[in-house]
Amino acid sequence: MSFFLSLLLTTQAVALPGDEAVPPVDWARQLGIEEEQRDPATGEFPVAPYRQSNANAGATPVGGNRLADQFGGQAGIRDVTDRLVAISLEDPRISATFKGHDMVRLRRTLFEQVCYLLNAGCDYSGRDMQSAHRDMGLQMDDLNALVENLQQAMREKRIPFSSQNRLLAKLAPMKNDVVQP
Amino acid sequence: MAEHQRNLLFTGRTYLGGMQCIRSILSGLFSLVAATLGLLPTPALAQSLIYDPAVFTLEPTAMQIEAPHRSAPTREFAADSVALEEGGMTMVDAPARPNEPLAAYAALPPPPPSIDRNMAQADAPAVDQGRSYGGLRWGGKLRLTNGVATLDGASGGGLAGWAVIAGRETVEGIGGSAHLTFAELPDYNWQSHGAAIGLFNRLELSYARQNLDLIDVGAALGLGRSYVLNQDVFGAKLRLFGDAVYGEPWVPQLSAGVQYKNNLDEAVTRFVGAKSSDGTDFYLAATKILLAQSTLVNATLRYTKANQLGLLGFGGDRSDDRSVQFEGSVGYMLSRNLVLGAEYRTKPDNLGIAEENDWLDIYAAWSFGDHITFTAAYVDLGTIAIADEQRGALLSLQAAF
Repeated sequence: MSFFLSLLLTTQAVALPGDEAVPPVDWARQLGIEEEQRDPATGEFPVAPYRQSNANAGATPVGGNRLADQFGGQAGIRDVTDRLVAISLEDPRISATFKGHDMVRLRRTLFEQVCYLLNAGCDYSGRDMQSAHRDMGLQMDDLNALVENLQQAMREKRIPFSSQNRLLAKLAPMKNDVVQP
Repeated sequence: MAEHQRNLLFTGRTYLGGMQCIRSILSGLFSLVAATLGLLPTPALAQSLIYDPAVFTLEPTAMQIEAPHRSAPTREFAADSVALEEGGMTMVDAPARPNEPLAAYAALPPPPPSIDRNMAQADAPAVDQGRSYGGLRWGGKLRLTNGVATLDGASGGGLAGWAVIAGRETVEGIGGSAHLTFAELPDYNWQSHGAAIGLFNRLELSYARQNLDLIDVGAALGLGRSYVLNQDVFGAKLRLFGDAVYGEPWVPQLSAGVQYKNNLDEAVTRFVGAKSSDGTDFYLAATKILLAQSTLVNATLRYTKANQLGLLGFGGDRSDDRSVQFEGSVGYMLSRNLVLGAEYRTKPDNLGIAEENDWLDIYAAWSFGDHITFTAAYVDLGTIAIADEQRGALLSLQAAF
């Protein structure tokens, strides 16, 4: 059995000349599609213009600095949001929903939103929750999966459970803007 | 040496003995060598290592020119050879001709872009097939937000019913749960079990079988020692609006429910003075998890005439009408797996000969993984029939999907 397997592997290694001699067609060029370029400064793809406002964050910030301190300030919040994105991209339940989206921009706007809501000294420059999630077809269990991933990211950062819930309390009312009706 | 050990040894020796062993080692080694060759960076290199030492001249072979996308020398490659020459460290025998083969590639389209790590490149299908079937999605509810089975079989906190729907499903699926509950009291043993199905986090259908072992009270009442009272409870609960977790904190999840209870010991219910051996409860429950406070609050109004949940029948000499009773719960979430809380449940007092008290409990609910919830509670059930101060422990195990 393994003898034949070896034989198979050996023959695979010796490719014949003329294999793949025809170069693949560059369909984007053929159809005249211009490739979008990332902004050299920010590394993000351009987006359609919209009105920027902190109101787009979907909630008002918490009072006081205590919660921001528990998250470890802006650096700690960035750790949490970056980790949330990383976990979610690996999560087979919801990884597909991020397909084709600009993760540089997501990481930045997500950080800004959480930072703003925790009163850690940021402004939110992203779109409002309804526009940001429009036509994504998100369902209730997708949102629950994201919440679980956020809980995991906060747990890894050793943020007290009650403080985790204070952030979730700010996000929970946005459910109807995120999940499809 | 025990016989099974001898057998094991014998089996082992037989398997590894003789030519079979040598043959398998040899073929394994051969596969390893072959696989290593197969995994070398370019097929051409692998081929050359076996047949053609000329590959070390760093000159592109005819085959490499014909198959540019697999093994073409890149511009960097060419630059490297130039740099090597300039440094006087020419390792090649033949003169390097960097421009000649590269010109052949200038007309070709650019190579496909490398994977952009800043774009999500998920390979997963749009819907994870593992949790989707026939348009339904399994599971997805946050832990503990399906509650635990009450003594009546409906989802709640143990003694008090909540507005939550059984099972781990969300609005896109069907879920369910099964439970087993024991309570040890000074003069009674309680055992109940049941199952519930949750449809689209909207409708819950539940069944529970309640068994109350009267122990010595049975003998005192002339029923015989350890006489067991039995009752079936069929329940339905409809979520009217709201979400216990999401939405604004002042909008609770509100559900309306109905429970039909059928006491299987009509002789006993008649003996204690109950007017009927079956009856129906109606209730309205509001539940909300106040995330900012990590606290769950629940309030339920129940319209009932059941005596001790119906185990002593329905209605009595004092009253044969339903009355509005209150069930309240609070819970503090210590983690996503652990809730500590307390409950209070008022009850009617219809029977002249069997005083009935309000119930209260202090509970802890743990979730072990997504599917198992274990509840332990200290319960004070007051007076039941002729035995008072019924305080004890309640243990309940629930499995949900």
